[in-house]
Amino acid sequence: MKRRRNIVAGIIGLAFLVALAAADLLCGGAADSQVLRLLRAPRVATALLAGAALALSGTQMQSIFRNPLADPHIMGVSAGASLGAAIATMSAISHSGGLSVALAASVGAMASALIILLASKKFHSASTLLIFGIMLGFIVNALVAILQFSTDAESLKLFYSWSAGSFSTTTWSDIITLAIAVLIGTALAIAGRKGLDIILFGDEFALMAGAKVGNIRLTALLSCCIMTGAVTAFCGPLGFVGITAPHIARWMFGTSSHKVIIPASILTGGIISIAADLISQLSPSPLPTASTMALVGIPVILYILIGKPSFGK
Amino acid sequence: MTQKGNILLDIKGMTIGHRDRTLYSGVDIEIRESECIMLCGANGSGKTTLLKALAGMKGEGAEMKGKEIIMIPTRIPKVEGFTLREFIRISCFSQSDFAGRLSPEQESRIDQALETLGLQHLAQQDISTLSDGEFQKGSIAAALVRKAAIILLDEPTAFLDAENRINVLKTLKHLCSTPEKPAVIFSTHDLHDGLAVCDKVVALGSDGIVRTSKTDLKETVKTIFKDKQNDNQI
Repeated sequence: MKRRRNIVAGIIGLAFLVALAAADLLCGGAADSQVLRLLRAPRVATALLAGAALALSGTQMQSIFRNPLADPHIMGVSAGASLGAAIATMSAISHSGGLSVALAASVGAMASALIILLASKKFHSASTLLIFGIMLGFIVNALVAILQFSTDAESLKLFYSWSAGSFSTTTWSDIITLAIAVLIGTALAIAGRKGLDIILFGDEFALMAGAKVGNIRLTALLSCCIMTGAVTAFCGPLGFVGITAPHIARWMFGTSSHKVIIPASILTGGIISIAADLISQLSPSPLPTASTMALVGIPVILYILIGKPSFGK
Repeated sequence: MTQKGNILLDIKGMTIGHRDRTLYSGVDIEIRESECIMLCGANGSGKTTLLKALAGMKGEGAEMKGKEIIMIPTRIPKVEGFTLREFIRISCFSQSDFAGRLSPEQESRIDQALETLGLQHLAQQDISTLSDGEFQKGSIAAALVRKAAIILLDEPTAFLDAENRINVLKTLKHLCSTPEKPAVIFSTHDLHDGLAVCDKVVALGSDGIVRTSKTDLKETVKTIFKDKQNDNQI
């Protein structure tokens, strides 16, 4: 019964994803193969990979922190990427544009992630670590604000264009890098899925069942950091998909088992991300993806807060 | 006190403490097959600490071979999206393979455990829809699947209403008489109901002494509140 539901939900989800991707590819009317190959296809592929990566990161974070609103944004990983990008665009270190911004953002995300990983060894309580992540995000955002305050208009413009988020700036070689990061992150999530299931029932229960709670949390965080770092570096800080996609996946497939939820969130993350990109492309001049992502994501978050807040009870 | 089955765990001179603080020293506890033991004491007396200490032990006798000492925490969240059978499967973390699958033998043990506890009809039900009492029994079923020689329950009736409380305590008593003969140790503040099902009492005294006694309410209360003149409360 459950198996049949999973198959039906999977087929519907895949069909929806393919239809959205096709609409996103054809958005803007007929185009020659060059435009399709060099502009639209990389954009759709990036949206798919970024959505899948952020959704899978959100799934793992919500499980290890047993909190329905946890995602890489909340844990300060995206804030770390913003600081990296801010330093690259606003300081005297670099004014060389796109690639250095992406690299700096990646280093910033990894630095934030490293601090959280080290903190996860010190703080064994899920809620303490979550509060630590939120505080880290505040501190890093404060540093970004200081940099913004003391920079020139040109640098500020470059930083704002990165922070608005976009799937349109990647090349095929960037996409290969992104795909490798997503593959590594997904492999880690699959390896840790048995632990992700048991940690939902509390640290004490997991320990009593013989699980190594610290290792489960460490593996999941490492997976999230690799994927979020890569996505934020190439696409800017994108929120909401990490929170919303896992909830939609649980609703669609009617289970919290990670055997199903890991592939299901990859699917729903891809759908949300491509839908957001499609909306941003429908405008005469493309809208910032981070904003359209929020427009797609906020109604779902409100539904979670007001309608059906049952996860992790 | 009537002696039950073979000795599973014979502890002599154990020290129980929390971080740098010693709560009890020279503790002797003997646990036998099929024994139902009530653990009681005032709040903060160290009941959970004692259970955790017992959970970390390994029995050496033939009766303990291939079996485990399993502790069931007070409150396990009823996470939506898992059936009772899936929850039991997840509980068998150490027994399952890399993908979380159990062997056919272990799967049939789940059927047996569900039958022992009268939960077969709830096997495919989402655990978030079970009552607290049914879920508590599901946790006990999971311990049975894991071949528990000794099952430790930390306040299993703490959040239950009167009907479910008695139901769970009766289940514990019934469990001890099953062919696998597990010993059950449960902590509780509910002395009246607990004494009705247990074979012996381990009471953590306020004077720093752990006493094993017969199932007598007056004696148990005296032990727990040794220095507090509570005789008039009985």
